[in-house]
Amino acid sequence: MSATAAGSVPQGRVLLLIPTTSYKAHDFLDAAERLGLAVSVGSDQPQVLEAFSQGGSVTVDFHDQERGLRQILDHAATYPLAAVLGVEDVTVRLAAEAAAALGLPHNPPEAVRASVDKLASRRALAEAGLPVPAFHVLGPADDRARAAREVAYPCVLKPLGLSASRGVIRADEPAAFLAAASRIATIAGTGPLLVESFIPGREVALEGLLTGGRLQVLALFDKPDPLDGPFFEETLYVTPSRLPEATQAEVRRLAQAMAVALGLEEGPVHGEFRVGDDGVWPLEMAARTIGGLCARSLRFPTGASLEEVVLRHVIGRPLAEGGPAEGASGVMMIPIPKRGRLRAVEGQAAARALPGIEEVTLTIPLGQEVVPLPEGDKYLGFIFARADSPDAVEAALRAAHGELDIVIG
Amino acid sequence: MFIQTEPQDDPNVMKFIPGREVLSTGMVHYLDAEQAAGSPLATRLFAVDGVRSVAFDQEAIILHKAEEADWRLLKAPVLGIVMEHFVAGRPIVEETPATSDEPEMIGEPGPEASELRELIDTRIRPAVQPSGGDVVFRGIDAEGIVHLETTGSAASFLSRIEAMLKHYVPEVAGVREFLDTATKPGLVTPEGQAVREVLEERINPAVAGHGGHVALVDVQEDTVYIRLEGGCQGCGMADVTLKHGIEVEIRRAVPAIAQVLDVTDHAGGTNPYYQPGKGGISAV
Repeated sequence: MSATAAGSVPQGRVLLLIPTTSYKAHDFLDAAERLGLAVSVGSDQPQVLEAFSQGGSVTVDFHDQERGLRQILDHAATYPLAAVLGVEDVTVRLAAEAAAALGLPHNPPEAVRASVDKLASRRALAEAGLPVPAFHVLGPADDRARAAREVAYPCVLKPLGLSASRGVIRADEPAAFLAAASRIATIAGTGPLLVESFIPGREVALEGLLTGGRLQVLALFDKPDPLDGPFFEETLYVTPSRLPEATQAEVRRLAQAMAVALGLEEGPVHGEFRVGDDGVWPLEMAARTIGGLCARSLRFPTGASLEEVVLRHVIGRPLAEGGPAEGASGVMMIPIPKRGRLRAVEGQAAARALPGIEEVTLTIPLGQEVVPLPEGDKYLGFIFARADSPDAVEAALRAAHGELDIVIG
Repeated sequence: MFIQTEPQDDPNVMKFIPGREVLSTGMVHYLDAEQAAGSPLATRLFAVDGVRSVAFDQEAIILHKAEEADWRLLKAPVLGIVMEHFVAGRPIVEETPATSDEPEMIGEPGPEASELRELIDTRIRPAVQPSGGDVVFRGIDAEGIVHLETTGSAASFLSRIEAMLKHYVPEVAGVREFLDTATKPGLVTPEGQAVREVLEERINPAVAGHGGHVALVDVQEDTVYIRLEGGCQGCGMADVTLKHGIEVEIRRAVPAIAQVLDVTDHAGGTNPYYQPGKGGISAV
């Protein structure tokens, strides 16, 4: 049974577990500063100025959970903690275990474990009676050729871990199935694969906050670009959704049901859904905020960022007017057109000058290699827009992207 | 009259302290003799070969010399001029010094300069000012380099400003920080010197291990402006380094400092130590 955020406000710092390769360190620290909140950052590598940090930085082993837990408890003995928050998938489970050990609000660790494992997640949703695509596991020792003959097409192959569509490949026939399995092995290793039926339709994403198991929906994003494979590179996120209200209500209902099925009870969640002709299909739910820098597309009452909303939640000081994101906004994760060395991104000024465009941010330095999906593990950059309507946001994002000339040599 | 000299961390900067009031309030700073026309003392000091800039505060005359000049040769004429000036009771400043409203300009006026000034005034300054900075156009030189004087957080916008100016004015070849070549008054205050000491003796030796460097850009009242360079520029953990390292140590060593602001153009980093990526394991 997990503790809840209700009741008295705990005293002490908030420990943010942030991998050194996270996109989110700046935004979480910025939010903490605006709130006047004392935070420590636990990261997987020693911070270069850790000796000066007066407990502001602590090295935590994210891969050896027992060792990482001991490091957090040692830190908490000197610097009492009010909450522990994992901001990326690789840290959410350790955050839950540490918070549980310290008697702080937390998700049940087993629930978080299920949320970061595609197979465990599928099983939990299916056992709860939620609509999920037909799925089975392809183990390393299984006969791939036989599996390729017997599976129903089209299907999608996925590694059990990884995020942001890495290693996710659609196959329409046996040769493509075998090629996809081999390719995924080079990306994610030779572990088991999840093989599931492909569900036609558009995708939506939901950003929410759980309090004692009750879901508060913060934003619902349309993903207007088709995600039909063979790879699933996410590009546009636009909110509020333009889906019919009944469909949106069904997404919200399923999101709450997913949280219950997985056992998630506290903190941020990011859920993904397919909307087809035959209804809404829940795909996955992660116990963290939206990936990359995408949260910058959201603004809440009083101008709060998503990170601020989440930090307020973990210390039991929710926004007085906590509600869904204000206005229409969106983000484009700039697609990587091909593999190579990034030589230039021309047209940024013209893109920024377009009405509705708030920012164009590149996140791969010039001169470095860029790799598209399914292997790629970095975003090229982000375009953010805000306008009167979702249609205007989408148009602005597409126009801004059209101004960019991405030179890859 | 005894004039005390006080070397600064920057070997090209020295304070001359006459032991009596220099300015009744504030601080003035001259970059050349033309700008110093309203100050008889500064005008005479610029006549000394090797003097690059002159600043006055309430208690000192602060000189910045050229790299190749030698204080052993400069001190005697400077001390003579200062001594004679104070003994004669001449004013330090006769008229209001030049301000950023009437800045020294680089290059010739022309259609490009007019267009650039309008762009900066109508598009760039309104975007920069809400973040606590400002940009003043100081001209475009023969090579197409636009010289901008930035204050506060504006330095962090330089690469975006450059992209915008290049987009609208094809003659623009690049953008340069005008004040990078001048001594900023805040850097020669006791707080400025103490902050520089912390950076050079404690912070920079540590961040060098990640190929990084922290440059002191300015100190204004209780605020320090820094620029992260090398491996720190664009690093995914730059904010942790700043807020849980640099700021903690500076505030501990210099209690008068309330905040440290990063004016780095992180998008311009070419080799950040930690590069963000789609890390971790997840179903989504």
